[in-house]
Amino acid sequence: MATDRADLELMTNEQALSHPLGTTESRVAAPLARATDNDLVLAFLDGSNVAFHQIVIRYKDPITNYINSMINDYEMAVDLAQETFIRVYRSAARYQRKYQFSTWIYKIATNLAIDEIRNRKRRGRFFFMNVFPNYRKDDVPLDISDGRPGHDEALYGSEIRSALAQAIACLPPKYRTVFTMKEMQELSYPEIARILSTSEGTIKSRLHRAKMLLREKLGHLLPRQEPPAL
Amino acid sequence: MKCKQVQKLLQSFIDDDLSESVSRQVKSHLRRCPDCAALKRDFESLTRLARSEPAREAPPDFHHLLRRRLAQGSGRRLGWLPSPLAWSTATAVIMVAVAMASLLLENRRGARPPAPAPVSESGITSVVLPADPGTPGTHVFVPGEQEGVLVRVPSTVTITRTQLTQDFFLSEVSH
Repeated sequence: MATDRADLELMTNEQALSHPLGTTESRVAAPLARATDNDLVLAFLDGSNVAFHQIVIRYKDPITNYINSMINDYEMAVDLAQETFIRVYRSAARYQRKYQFSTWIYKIATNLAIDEIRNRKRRGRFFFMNVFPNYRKDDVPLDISDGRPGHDEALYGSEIRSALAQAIACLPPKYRTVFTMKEMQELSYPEIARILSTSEGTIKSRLHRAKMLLREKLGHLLPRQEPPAL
Repeated sequence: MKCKQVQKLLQSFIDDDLSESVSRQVKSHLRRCPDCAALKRDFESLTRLARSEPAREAPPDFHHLLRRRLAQGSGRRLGWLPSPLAWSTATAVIMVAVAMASLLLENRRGARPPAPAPVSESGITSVVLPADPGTPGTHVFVPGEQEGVLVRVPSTVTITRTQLTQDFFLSEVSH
């Protein structure tokens, strides 16, 4: 299998170089737009570079957006999204079809994002501990003004969103991952549980904890709406 | 129902994921308890805010960049590994250390000159001494059979000399 995979990789690389997408392949790709993810992976394993192209079209935006929400750094998010597709390209043969493809690709993206968070934390902590010996990870101040709805609603909206992004960036990875997947990507509990290989109960409990931590950081800034009649 | 229980069930209540009877109890508690009601409002606000965040899509040249990376066969460098520059520097230091160790071994294998006599028979002749050849970071000229070599003393290597004359021997190298 390994040899077959290597041959396939060589072949598809050559195809990638000799057949730029957007010409003949885009015409071939039209029917593939309706294919399921599993069908696309199978077609790609059979040597169809167009199928891989279709997978990229389908997932490049959600994966980039997801990683950006996780690490709050767009350029790095694009880099990691590309790495996600490179890993899909190289290890498609290892994809187990008992899971949805989306579960698998989000799992790869999550691992890359968490590695990046850990690397940043290590580098950041090293820096802060040398420059500010009393630095603690939870002491990162939020760069926001107290802008309850008032003179400028749009400015308030953008400030509170920026504050939320910063507050999410301060969450420990396990809470950040769940909050991002559930509240920003709007994935279902069963899907998140499969991606993170844990139970739905654990996911719900992490989401609760993530929200409690975010409330601690942002509580005084959160828009208070009149409670609807219960 | 007590506040602690309600707070634990709050997310499931918001998700409409509780049985009818439990949901009724939570609802009843929220009517009476302003703290839990405020917590529920904040949880809902966080969800609304998170979902109002504009999506950041992939850039238009995403495909082009991906194709180039695949064609080059390049994956992303692992974050914890040093940069290519650091690798080059480390390689250079190791090469110098190996070169110096080889010279040392060569010297020890050959007839060791009795100090302070000149040592031309071992291939080592007199050299121009730096201010202090034992200081890491200084350059020393080590003559060989055909031609000499200028090496920088790595910071991990300590060199001492057996004599303080114009004759310089790499007699002691330690890591």
